[in-house]
Amino acid sequence: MATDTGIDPRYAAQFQRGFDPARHVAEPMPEPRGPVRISAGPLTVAQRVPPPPPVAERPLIPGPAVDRAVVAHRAAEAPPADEPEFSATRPRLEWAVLLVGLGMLALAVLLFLQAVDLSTDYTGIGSAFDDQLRSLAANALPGPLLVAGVVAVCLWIALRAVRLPRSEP
Amino acid sequence: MRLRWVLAPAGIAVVMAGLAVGATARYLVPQLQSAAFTFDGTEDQAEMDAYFAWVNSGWPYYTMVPWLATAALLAVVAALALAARRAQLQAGSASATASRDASSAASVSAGSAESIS
Repeated sequence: MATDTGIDPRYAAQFQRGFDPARHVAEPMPEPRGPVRISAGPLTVAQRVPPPPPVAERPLIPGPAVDRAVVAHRAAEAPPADEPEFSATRPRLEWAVLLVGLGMLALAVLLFLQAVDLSTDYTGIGSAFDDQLRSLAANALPGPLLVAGVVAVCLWIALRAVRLPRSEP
Repeated sequence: MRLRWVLAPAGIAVVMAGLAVGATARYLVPQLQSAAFTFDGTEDQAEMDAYFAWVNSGWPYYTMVPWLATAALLAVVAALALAARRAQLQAGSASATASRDASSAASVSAGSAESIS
C-alpha cells in the first residue's frame, strides 16, 4: 500500500483526520534499531570451533611428525622453573617405596627362617620374655610383612608404569 | 606403557603362587610319610631327631600359605589394572592416529582440489 515515496497513507499523519500542518510539526524519524551495516572494510570472522590441541594422546609408535608434536606438547606442559622441588622429590619417593618393600620382604624371609629354626628346636622355646617375644614375632610377622612388601613393590611398578610413558622413547 | 610393566606384577603373582604350592607340599609330604622306629636301642637317636625335626618344621610353611596366596592375588589385581590401563592408552592412541590420518587426508584432498581449480 506504500507509495513510491515510501509513505503509507493509512498511517501517515498528513492523511489522518484532523491533521493541521500548522499545528503538527513534522518530527524527525527515530533511527532504526537493528544490525548496523558496516560501510567499509571486511567483516570480521569468528571461529565457532577452536582449533584442536596439537597432541590428543601420545601414540605408542612415535613417528617423525608425531615426535615434533610430542616435543611441543612437552614444552607446553613443562613445569615452570620455580618448581624444581616437585620433580626432584617424586622419583626419590618412588625409590623409597621400592626400598621399603624390599626391606619388608627381606625381614619376612629372615623371620620365617627363624620360625623354621624354632620349630625344629627339640628343646622348645624358653620361658624368658625375650624368647617368647622372638618366637611370637617369628611366627606372626612374616606373613603380613610378605604381603606388605609385595604391595609396595607392585605400587612402585604401577607408579613407574604410569609416570614413564612421557619420558620413555 | 610397555608390556614389561604388566608382566612384572604377573611374574610376582606366579612366584607367590608357586611358593604357596611349595609350602603346602612341604607341610603335607612329611605328614603323608610313615616312619617306624623299634625303640629297642638299635635306632640311631640322631636319625629319629632328624625325622621329627623334618615333620615339625612343616608348620611354619603351613602358616605362610594364606599369606602367599593373598600376595599372589594382590599381584594379579595389579597386573590386571596395569593391563587395562595399557589397553586404554592403546585405544586412545589408535583413535588419535585415525583422526589425525583423516584430517591429513582431508587437507590433502582439499589442496588437490584447489590446484585443479
